Amino acid sequence: MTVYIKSTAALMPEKSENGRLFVCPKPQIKDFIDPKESRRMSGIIKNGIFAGMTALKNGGIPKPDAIITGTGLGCLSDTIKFISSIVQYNEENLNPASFIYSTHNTVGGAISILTGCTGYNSTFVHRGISFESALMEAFLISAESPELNILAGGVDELTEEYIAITARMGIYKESSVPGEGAAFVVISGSKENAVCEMAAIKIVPSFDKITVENVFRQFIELNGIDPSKTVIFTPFNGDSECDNWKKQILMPHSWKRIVNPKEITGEFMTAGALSTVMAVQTVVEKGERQVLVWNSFLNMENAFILIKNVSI
Amino acid sequence: MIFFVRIALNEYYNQPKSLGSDLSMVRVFITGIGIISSIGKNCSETKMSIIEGRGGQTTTKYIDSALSKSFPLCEVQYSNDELAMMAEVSRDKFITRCSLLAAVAATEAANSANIRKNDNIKTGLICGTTVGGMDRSEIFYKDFSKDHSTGNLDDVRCHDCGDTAAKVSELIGADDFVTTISTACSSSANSFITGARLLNAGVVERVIAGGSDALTYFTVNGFNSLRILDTDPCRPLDAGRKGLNLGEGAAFAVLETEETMKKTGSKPICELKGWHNCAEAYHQTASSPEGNGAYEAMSGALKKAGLKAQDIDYINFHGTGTDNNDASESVAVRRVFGADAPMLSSTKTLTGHTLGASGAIEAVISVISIKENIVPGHARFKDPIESTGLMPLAETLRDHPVRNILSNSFGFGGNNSSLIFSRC
Repeated sequence: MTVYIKSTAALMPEKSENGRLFVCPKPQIKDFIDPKESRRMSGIIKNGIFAGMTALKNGGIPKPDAIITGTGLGCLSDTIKFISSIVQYNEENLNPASFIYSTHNTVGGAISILTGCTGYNSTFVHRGISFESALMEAFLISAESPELNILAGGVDELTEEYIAITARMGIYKESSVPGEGAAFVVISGSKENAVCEMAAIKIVPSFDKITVENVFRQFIELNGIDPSKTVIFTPFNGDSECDNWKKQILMPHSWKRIVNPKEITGEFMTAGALSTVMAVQTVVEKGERQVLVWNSFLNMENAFILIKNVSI
Repeated sequence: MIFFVRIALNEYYNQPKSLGSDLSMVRVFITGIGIISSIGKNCSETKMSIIEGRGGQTTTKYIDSALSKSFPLCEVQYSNDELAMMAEVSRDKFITRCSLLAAVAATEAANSANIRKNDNIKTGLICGTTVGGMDRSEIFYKDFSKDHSTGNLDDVRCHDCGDTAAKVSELIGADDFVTTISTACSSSANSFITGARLLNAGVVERVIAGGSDALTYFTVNGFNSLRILDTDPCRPLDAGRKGLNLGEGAAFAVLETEETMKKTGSKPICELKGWHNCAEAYHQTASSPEGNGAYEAMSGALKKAGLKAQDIDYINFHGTGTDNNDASESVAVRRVFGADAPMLSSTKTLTGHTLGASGAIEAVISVISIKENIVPGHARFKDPIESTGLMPLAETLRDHPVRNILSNSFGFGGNNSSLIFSRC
């Protein structure tokens, strides 16, 4: 059984002028959804629709067979909008729109409606491995049913409140910068029109250093990874407490190239979705043999994804 | 009086395209269960409430919402401190009511399957929830909204939906794979589906699947803004239904394969024989009048189970009490089962709608039904919906063995899931 990636798309954030945030530009979605319908949608939903629908368009797939989404915190701005209205209007005569849109599976549901996809639909919401959980389930479904095209992705958004609260908590330390973004891939067990292979995924729901190190070593052995021929994407986010022990795990190996995606995405719970799309680009456009994506949000869960070139 | 309306069945009998259901899968067995809701803090209390038809609609003690005076809510009648004592966990760690409810139910499930920490069985945990730590976040937000430098940060630290699964998995040693699903009201039914898939792929050997949701100011106001809360105890599937009652709770089940049971020595309570999830792709919140999503979910689950419609002895309806859901689900049930629908009821008449927990709560009630030979009754039923004429079972049947139970869970975003539990 081999699982392939047929197409990808990402809405990448841009560094703000003061350099303290990575924020997404407003995407052009009128080709995908009637502006009357999207008018009331918040940023994350538009970003998710844009990335998901663009990934499908790039793969020439009008209707996927399954949609699996990951989001760490879901539709935060709608959540905050609704809770603010409850406080402001004393629980009376509230507009339900932001409540409806606050549901975590809004993006997955919206893409199913836009594409008419009546297949499997799920949304994972487990912190820094929300996207990786979605990708892993897509991987498992592909193994069960190779003929299916499965859209899997991750979305998260920055809001003023998130920035204020995380600043007070001090979870972004040193040069660690909050970010946002949306990215999707189309997974399939069929090699036809595949751009690369998704060779393996391993999620480690642990931040125990010894466990992570052991799993990392096993992952390299099991997949026959030769570090000298492999580009590694690191989970370094600029916080030395998070980064130092991870650097030690990488050190014994001499990697072909070390890339740190969080320098251009910022740090957020589904940054791994953007890294994965960048890994596919690295293999497809730069002709690299393979990319090992190691992702981790702050000092929490870890995940490893191996993307391989199909033309070497 | 019972009357059936014939629907033009033939036009609906196109086989839905099912997802990966042709492949032979490992068999998945339920070896332990745990539950807490407004009708009981464990399986035996839940069973007694079902037998006695005792609903959990109550005067609330803990939720801080003016709406609790206007609408019946099915609140778990224990404080957060009491829940922590029940689960033997620290309030410093288990901060949200969602994680406390989950700790109680997951501990009961793990104990009933004799799960021991470090027993060398690779175990995963999947939790479904809709709002996770919202019960604390909204306390934080009341202060924070006035001044961004105020609000106790400990109240918002556990806002994310993943907090519950992370803490409960550590508590019971189910940490080889941990994740959280949020697909609105089908969230925890989907935990079972993903759990079965993980077992089939051999990612883990045992899965604790379920979900949890606490009553919150956020969801009570959300459903009130949609104008779908009943001011009286709810009457799902009734022609005179006026909406739903919100509830809270958590439920978990332990899923093992035959191979795993050889190692653990667990005895199966029943088999998770069929499952199917699909999107309706119709509307963000509404279900289609033809019940296409519900029809596909039920048909797909039957196909997966290798069962015919007539093999189902009892349907645990999603049956929220809203006009739209119950009409759509009833039409879909007629399309799948024709004129001879099996026994059916909505246990939300007792537990209320527990949102992200409801799929797991109703799954565990289905397992209790098979284990204890009961068929849950449906409270307060008066008149059937005219177009479908479905008659729920009024009183709980005792000493009535059932073979196969179908449990439905449908959510916002057109997310439809059906599970089938079978005697083994």
